[in-house]
Amino acid sequence: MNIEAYISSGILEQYVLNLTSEEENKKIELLLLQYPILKDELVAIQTAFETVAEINSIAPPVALRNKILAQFDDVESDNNNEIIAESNNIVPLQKNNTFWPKLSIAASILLMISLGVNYKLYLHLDDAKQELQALNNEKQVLANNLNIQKANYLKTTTELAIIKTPGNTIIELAHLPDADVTAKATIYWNSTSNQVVLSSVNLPQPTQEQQYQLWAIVDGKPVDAGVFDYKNEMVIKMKNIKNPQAFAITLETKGGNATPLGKMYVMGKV
Amino acid sequence: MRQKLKIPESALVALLQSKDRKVMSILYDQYSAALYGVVLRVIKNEVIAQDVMQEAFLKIWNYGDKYTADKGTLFTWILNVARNTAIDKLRSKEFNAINKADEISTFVSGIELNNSVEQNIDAIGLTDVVNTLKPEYKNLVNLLYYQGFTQEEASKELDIPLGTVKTRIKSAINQLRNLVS
Repeated sequence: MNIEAYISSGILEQYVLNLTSEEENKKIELLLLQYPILKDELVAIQTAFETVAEINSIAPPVALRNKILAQFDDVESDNNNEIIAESNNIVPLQKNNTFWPKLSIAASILLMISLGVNYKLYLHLDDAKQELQALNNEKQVLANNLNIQKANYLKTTTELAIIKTPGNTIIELAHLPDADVTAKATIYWNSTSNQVVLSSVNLPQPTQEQQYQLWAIVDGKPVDAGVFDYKNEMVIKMKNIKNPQAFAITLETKGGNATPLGKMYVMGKV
Repeated sequence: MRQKLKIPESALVALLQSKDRKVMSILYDQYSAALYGVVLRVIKNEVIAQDVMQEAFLKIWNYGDKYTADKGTLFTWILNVARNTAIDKLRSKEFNAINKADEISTFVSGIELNNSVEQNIDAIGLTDVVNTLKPEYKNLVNLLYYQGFTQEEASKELDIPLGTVKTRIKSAINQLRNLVS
């Protein structure tokens, strides 16, 4: 058979438009299975109409979706109804039997009670969840507090040990007239070991480029005793100093300077 | 228009043939706008078009296991179910009765509904791809595709010989294929 001529006869277009007879349809459908080229041509024509339908799309009203899809819920519930109806017909004795109705009433009551209890339990569950969250928060706060207390304890015992060490002098560094009134620091200086320990620092927060530096005044001249981290809450061991007359803290460029260039915050005489 | 996630036809066919109910919501989401576009162009009445949609989806569900890929794509099959349902409705006595009753009731009860239907139909006339075909093709495709005319009926309606109808169908669809490809 000349399939090209068959295609150009326009029979496929008529088939797609439902214009062919039953007899013609059977013949076409048989040929479609034999000639892939015929099938390709058919699909091409169908695709054109599919594309037309897509371009011409009109969204149906939103409510139509539920209305149509509900039909398929009904299909199932209809089947169920039939089954119930049948079983009612088969067992007429049920009408005289009072056991099942009583049981079903009892079951219903139990179900209602169960639902009530469940609801109450559900409410409790919510309370319990909130309580647990509160407890977790509290636990976190306590853990944080404990860490602070541990740090404080360590600092205190260290300071106490320093104070107890023979030969240690406590020097309180007080704020200078032009400095913040809360500025202060404490120095423990040991006259035998010359060890300098800095503690209880309270100074304004410096910028990223700045750092506080401790100076000892020896023979009337400032001697570098080391820079320190402003946020350090522990006692800090500084450089050893022989025969200091006084101590002072200035704000210097990060890393410190050989001679004090920045503003002086606190000072105290030995 | 909303971007849709397209599920391959092969998967839909499998669900449809196994009578899996969730396929209907997928088919609805995927094809309802295209189907409604066709149905409304056939029926030209929104209320009845929605009834037709409902009927069409019921047929898709009931006869879905009869579909085979031999005769073409699932989309074409679904499109044909909807279009044929619409054309059957269009040609039914019931439709003509409802349409007349509707005309009277909208005439009596106000013009609001009537307006919305009219506007829709105007829009259809403007936007249909088919209407961009040559006039002699456009009328033919409209009669055959949207109104379910036979070739003989179209021949009478357009007052052209049956042989011309047959050759024009091929030319019209060729032009349509060029338009949308």
